Amino acid sequence: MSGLTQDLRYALRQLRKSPGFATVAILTLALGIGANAAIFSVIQGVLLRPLPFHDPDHLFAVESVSSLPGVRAAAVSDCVPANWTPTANLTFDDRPNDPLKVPITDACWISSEFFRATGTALFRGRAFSPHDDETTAAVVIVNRALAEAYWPGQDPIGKRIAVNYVGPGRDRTGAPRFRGVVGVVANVKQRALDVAAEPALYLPFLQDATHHVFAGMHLFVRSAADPLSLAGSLRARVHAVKSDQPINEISTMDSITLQTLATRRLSLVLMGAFATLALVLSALGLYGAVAYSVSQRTREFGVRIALGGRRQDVLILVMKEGLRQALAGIIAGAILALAAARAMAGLLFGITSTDPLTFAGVAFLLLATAAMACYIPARRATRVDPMVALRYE
Amino acid sequence: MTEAGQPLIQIQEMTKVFYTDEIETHALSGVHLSIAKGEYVAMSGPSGCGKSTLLSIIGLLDTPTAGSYSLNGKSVENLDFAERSRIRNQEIGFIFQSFNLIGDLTVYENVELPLTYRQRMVAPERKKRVMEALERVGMAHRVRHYPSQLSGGQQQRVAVARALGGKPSILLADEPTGNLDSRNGEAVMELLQNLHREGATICMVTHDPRFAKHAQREVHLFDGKVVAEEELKKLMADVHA
Repeated sequence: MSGLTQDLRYALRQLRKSPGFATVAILTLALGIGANAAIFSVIQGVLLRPLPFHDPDHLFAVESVSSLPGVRAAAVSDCVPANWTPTANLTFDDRPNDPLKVPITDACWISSEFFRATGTALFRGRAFSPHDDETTAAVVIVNRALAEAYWPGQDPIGKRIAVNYVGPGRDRTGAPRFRGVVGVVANVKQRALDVAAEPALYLPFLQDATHHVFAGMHLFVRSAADPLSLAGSLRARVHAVKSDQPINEISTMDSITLQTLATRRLSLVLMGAFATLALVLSALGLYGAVAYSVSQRTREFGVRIALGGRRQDVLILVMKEGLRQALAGIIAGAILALAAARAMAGLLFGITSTDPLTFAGVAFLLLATAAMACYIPARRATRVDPMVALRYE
Repeated sequence: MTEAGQPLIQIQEMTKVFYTDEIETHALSGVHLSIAKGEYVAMSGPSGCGKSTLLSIIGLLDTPTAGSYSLNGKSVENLDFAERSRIRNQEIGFIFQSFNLIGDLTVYENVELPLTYRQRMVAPERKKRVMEALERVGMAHRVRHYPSQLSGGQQQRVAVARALGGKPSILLADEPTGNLDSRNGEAVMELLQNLHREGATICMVTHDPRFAKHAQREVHLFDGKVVAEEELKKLMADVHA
């Protein structure tokens, strides 16, 4: 504790003595943490929390209605994850339903292999089977977000909801029937990678009670090999079933999801460039400040060594002083970044603009950079000849 | 510890050669020197005679090119850097011409500095030593001051306290009055004499004969060799002639 108090006292003294250098270090580090907080949050949203699919580059979406043999899995859906989804109104049978506050959720009509084809994890219950058709009990699968939103702390399996599909081609007549929840799957970002996953449900397309025409279904194919090499055979298979079936586009799931991020990717590149620049400037600023300080204190280090200081004592001294400035800069930068968080909120997704993990990560990155920037002049300080103590100036 | 009268420092056949490009400079040439515990020795001689080089080797700031050096009965001429640092810290107290107090540290912190390098010395023990040393030099009332707030004489007193704090075997003073006016110079000399009377072993480098007379014994150096006083006078006369 006394060591900490002494460190703080020295830090304040140093700030008073050379406010210019301290300001340079603090400002550059503040710039660093500000820019890096933004870039980290974007990277975290895009790279670290993508769709919960495995191998999305081996997944096709083909606009057609068909099934294909010779691939790992194939399924149809009227949704395209990270791209588009219709919605539905919900009615519960375990609570009063307010007609003025009808819950709305994402809703997809899918075939039984959809979760296997997309690699979406099933957490509870079961997936659909080809037997989930008009002749069997009406069923529905919900995602975790929906389960937590409407049945928090409860097991959603066996709960009953009526799903009033409001997507294209729906038949408005008749009340929707109640469906039993048979499974809970992982959340999937249905609208775009930069829009958080919302409550969603999945309906077996063989139980379509709305009589809509499924004009725009998508065929999802998980390939075992290079997906683009299958494009020709996919077209041939679809046209073998229906020769005039238009196929708008064959693309990998990766390219579909990336399209949703085009604008943000540009921002990402620009922010990344600025963040890197800020980090380099921070490191250079701190290096310059510490290197200058070391060059001005050659005699002091010589005296310290003459009085019995070991090389590592001098190394620790210089590192501590540099890192104290860095820490002050990081704290100041964190405060500035918090203040700027509102302005940056539009660029962030998947995390809040004051995400503690992001701030901690950026602070750690900057501290590590600062440590490297301090180490070089600190090493130089350890090589001072103690004979300088005997020289008279 | 060495008994009083026994040699604390024993140097034999010591040479120190500096190499600059292709030029050899013999700063010390076969020096023999013995300093007993409790002795007050002044090393004097003209500028460039090698007295500061000898002091730096005695203080383990530098290593000899050849010869032997034992401190407190232990051979120290071939120690590594870390061991030399440890011995400097524990056995030697330095008093420099330009005081060499650290401007960012208070008087207390300056005196405490060498003690902080002793891994096993706890803070209360350090405090006791610092206050004792400052009281011995009459500077205990200035613990919170910075060096820039002190006169030259006061700064040198603090430097003496810093040297005393570690209870060293020997005090090495390099022109301790060189940066002081005559009044403050005399005061520092008196302080060293008092310390000597209390049992301190002191080795002082000075080029001023007035201050050299304060010591028990004078060692004269000329061209890197120890010479007798009469011989030094003759050599100096030859130089001036």
